Amino acid sequence: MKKNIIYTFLVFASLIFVSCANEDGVSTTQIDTSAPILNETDVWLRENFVSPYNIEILYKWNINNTDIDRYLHPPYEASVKPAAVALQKAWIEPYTALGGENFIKEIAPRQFVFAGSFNFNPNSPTITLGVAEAGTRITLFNVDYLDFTDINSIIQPLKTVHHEYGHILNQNVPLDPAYGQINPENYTAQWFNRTDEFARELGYITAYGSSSEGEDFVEMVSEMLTHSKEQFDAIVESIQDEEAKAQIRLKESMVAEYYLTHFDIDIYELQELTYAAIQELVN
Amino acid sequence: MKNILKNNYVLLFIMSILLVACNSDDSNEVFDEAPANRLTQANEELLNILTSNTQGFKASYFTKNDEFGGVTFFMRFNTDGTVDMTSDFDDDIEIASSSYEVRVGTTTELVFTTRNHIQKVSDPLLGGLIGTGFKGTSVFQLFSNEDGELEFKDVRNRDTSSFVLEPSGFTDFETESIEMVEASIEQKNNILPEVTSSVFQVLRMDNANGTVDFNLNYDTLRLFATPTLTLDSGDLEELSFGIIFTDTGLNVNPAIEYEGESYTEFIYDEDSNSFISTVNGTTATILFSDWPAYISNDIYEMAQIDGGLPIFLYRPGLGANPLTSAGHDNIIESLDAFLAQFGLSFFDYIFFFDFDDNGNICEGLLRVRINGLPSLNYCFSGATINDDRTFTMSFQGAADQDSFDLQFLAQDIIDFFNSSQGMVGELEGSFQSDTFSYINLAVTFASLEDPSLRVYGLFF
Repeated sequence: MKKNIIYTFLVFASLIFVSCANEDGVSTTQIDTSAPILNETDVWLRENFVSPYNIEILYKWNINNTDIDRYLHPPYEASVKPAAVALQKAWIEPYTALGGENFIKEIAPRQFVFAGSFNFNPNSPTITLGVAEAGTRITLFNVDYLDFTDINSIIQPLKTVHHEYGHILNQNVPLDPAYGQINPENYTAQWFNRTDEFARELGYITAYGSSSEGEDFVEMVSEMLTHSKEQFDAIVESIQDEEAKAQIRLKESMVAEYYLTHFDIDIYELQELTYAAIQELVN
Repeated sequence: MKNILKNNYVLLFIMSILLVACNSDDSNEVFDEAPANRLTQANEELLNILTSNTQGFKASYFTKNDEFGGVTFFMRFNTDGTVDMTSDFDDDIEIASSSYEVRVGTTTELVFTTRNHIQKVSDPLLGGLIGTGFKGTSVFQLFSNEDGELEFKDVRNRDTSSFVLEPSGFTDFETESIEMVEASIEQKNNILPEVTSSVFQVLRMDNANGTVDFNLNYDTLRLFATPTLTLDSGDLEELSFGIIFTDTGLNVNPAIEYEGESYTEFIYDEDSNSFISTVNGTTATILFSDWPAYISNDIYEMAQIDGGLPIFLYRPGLGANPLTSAGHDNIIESLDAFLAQFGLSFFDYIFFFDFDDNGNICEGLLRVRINGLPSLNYCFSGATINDDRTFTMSFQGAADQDSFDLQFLAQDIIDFFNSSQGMVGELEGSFQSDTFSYINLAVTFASLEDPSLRVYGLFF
């Protein structure tokens, strides 16, 4: 018994020795936690995008935010706030007004990346206006070249945002497969060889819309939300081919139904608000 | 049972000893600090160097020294995260402010986070280089720090890029940086031909073995030269380097390696309008020469076209090509300005060559066409090819009364072809201008009497 006690003591002593060995205290973090330098633009973006919507606008260059093989550059700091205001007025506020205070807070990309330069596609006569990544980030290019006295210049990035936001909505609620069956025969990867006018005569609202059903749907959304109803109707009515015109009208009705059914938003009311905002931005 | 318990205790004891024995191995401390601390320190060191130079830095940036020349910047890094800079990239030299950061990336990185002069080299809208610009970047990895000179690289062009910062040495950044940039741009203009400059711009290598001229082949858009030396065997010796301009001349990168010497720094000599690099008693000189570095055999091929009777056309309406010299442009522009007073304008000129000179009158013919006037025709002798591969023709007079009366209008063009020291003709492939491309054979003719005159046109 005595021996057992001795063995027991030795075992526990060894364990205590091990458990006490090389004990380190908790020290301060080795990660750099110093506050970043914030300029006026940074503060404004925090107050108007990060705090209310949890949306970050990344305009300070990080080569990993864009395609490293493209020759791109950051925007002028002076270009950032006007572009952000355009997003606020012509995208966030209209959706918030009709979809409710939490609409954009709940369904939105968490980051926007602003690049100052145009994004030329290699070996192709095209440029990329914007990129949406997994519903979490939208990259807008040529922010330095927005002309707030020219409505066409302002429509272009907003069209990109409405287009990419359409994709994000589709990621939350998939579009009806019947949409892609309206006129699937002329979808093509060589869409850039078509003009918008030619594509419309085939039943697609834009040339890019004739690339696939997913792009077709969000091109309809973006065209509707960057034109007034009268302008959009005029575009459709200018189509010579009656069948193509009917196909686009059918797509329009499916887009409207999608918004109303799944998000309780009347897209024609949304159209009024977005177009009014665009005009206000230019004026 | 007792034995089993006893054995277990022994086993536990041995295991504990083993655990202790394995615990707390001593290791060699390679670094005093943890990796995160060392990265932070490296960033702080760079930031301190950048911000402690209150008069800023001179930055020399070669984006890709196998494709482009370099650009000089002057930069002042401020503690509030802003950087003020100017550059000699173009005529817009006003100091502008933007943001920068020192970050941990693949290593310590200097990032120009908002747009400023530095982004001119990554501007994909740059005319002539759409989509790529100078293939530059906004992100630079710190590569070395030697004697206060910081060298960075662009990870995309690691072997051919260099971004070097050295303290400016200024006492007044605002004033002196602009003065330096202006001086640099002046040097950039000095290498360009003027109206009176010879079209034969050469790189002349002069050493104990003699003098050799390379055709410089300087690309003003890319700031890049590909000098070529053509041997009579037809073999080519080619150099290539980017050029960065300085307040006193220019530097080349990579250095010119020629017959055991290395040339980097060229000083501008105003008297000779040339850039000279002197190394160990040898020189490399960039100059406008009176004679081309090499005259090809093209003239013999030309003499066979259309049975020895090729017809040459120069028409401004077909678009511009940089091979037509400023001196030749000046002749046409002056003529046009004169004609405009009378509601007339220059249309084109045609030269009917005859490479079989029989000594007859009017074997060669120059026809000058002016909108609103009859064609003006001037007789030349047939063309004679000389041993040095130049060719010679002589003016014989007007072919008719109208041409005689209006000869003063065509006199400069007549003089061009009537070069007493002959002409040089070179085939240039198919015709290409800034407006049109044709399959017609393109050709240049240059005067050796007045080497500021060269025309690019086509045979038809």
